Amino acid sequence: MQLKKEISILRIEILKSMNYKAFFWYSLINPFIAFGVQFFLWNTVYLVNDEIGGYTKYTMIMYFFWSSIMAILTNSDAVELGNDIKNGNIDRELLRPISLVKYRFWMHIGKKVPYIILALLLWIVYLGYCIITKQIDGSAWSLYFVCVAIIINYFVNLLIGLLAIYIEEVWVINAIITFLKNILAGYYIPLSLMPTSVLRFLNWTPLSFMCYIPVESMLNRISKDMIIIYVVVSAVWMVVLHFGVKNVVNKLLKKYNSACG
Amino acid sequence: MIKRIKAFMKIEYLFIKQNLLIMLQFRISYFMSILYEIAELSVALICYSIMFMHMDSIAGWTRNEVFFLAIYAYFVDITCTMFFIGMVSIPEYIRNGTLDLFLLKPINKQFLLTFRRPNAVQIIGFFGCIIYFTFYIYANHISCFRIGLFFVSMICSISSMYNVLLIVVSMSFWVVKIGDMWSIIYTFNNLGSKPLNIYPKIVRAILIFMIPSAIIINIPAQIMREPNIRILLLSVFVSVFIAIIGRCIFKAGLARYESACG
Repeated sequence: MQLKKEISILRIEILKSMNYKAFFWYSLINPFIAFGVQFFLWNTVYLVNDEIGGYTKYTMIMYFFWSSIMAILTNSDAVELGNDIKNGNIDRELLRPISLVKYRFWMHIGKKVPYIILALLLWIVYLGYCIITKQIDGSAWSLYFVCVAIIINYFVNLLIGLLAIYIEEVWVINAIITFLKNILAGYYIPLSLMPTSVLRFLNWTPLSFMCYIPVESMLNRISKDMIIIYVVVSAVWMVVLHFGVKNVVNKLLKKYNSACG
Repeated sequence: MIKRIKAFMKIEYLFIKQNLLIMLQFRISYFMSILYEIAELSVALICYSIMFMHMDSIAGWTRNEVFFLAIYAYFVDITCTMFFIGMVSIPEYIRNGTLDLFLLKPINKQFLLTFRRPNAVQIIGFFGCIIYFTFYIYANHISCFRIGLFFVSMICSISSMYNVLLIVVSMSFWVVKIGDMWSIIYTFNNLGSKPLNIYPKIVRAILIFMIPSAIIINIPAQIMREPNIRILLLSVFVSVFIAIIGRCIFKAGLARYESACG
């Protein structure tokens, strides 16, 4: 399969992301500062508690470590597509020999390449530790779940962004949905700490695949049976979201009128 | 001196009134912005609520005290956004050479540049926080002495935040692109928005003396929890020190500024 177009998009985005080096290094370090806060917070909480919601001190701190990594891997500006379509800023992209959704996806991956390399290095070290301590089962699947998280997050952000075409003052709705999504995906707090009924519901939605399930699989907190179920459910959601987004974007583009001279 | 302060307050009132009238021309946009502010605050409160389903306290801070800390952090954020957001434009004025228009006006330059573009969207959130503080004081039977200490620490906190932002934007007189310094400041404010005793001593010292996030957010909430004159005096000392540094850097920057006008 030739990926010439995709690789050239990746290359351009990598160069663009490295343009402002100070900002680039800051964006690499920032999630670890946020993790540092969580580390000290939970370190103090566990001085008086042995276990909280089924998490020991080690698993809780590792949860926040990996959720910080997930945050930098999965956050995207895919929400901007809706505004760009509304303002007619996609003309040049439509002329390219690649579909708009695919183009934007590879742009998104291109921006993430330095973070993906960092995450891969950390994951390899962590996997080595899991092999030594013979806790490999869930960790081996974590790479699959991380890829799923990136793809599902991208599609969900795209759908949120496409609201801009229908609603005028959409930035607030975007922001509120993003806040809710981040809480319900488990970025800010493990979903296991939420009421059981909420967790049971979220486990079948794409939200839990954005952060919670990838991190839980890394921590070997998912049984073998559940891993198989989650693999199937996540694959179904990826297909559903892919066709959903493709359908919506194609319908919108049929009605799209460019303002070019 | 009092006459000058009254004049500044009158001018700021006019700026806010003007901004509010403009904002209220787009009512839906205005109320949507308020909704956003509520959502932003709710995220922190929801996370803490979930944590407190599994524990009674965090580093000795009860649920109400932690909520107070989170709301105070939010209060500092909206106060700065409401009154000091005009500072965001200073680097652009310096780069484009359009700062001259402001330097020619017969008013204190620092006041004009930093206070001239208030954001009236935050008014409801601002008064909402004041009402919450009042309710908190009443419900917890806080003494007048502690209220007085809290008020002084609140002034130090807002003043410190203002001067930290002033120092950052004043760097534009020397550095072309200060870019995302704002987000760096808010990252460090995130450190200060947690109970201070979760950090080891060295981190606490950094948060008090180097990046005064503790002075800005934590110490007022700490004083409301447990009055401590020593911490308050430390907070006053650090905020006066930062104010002097901020003023000196700003004046030095102005002296260095060269107009781009023909």
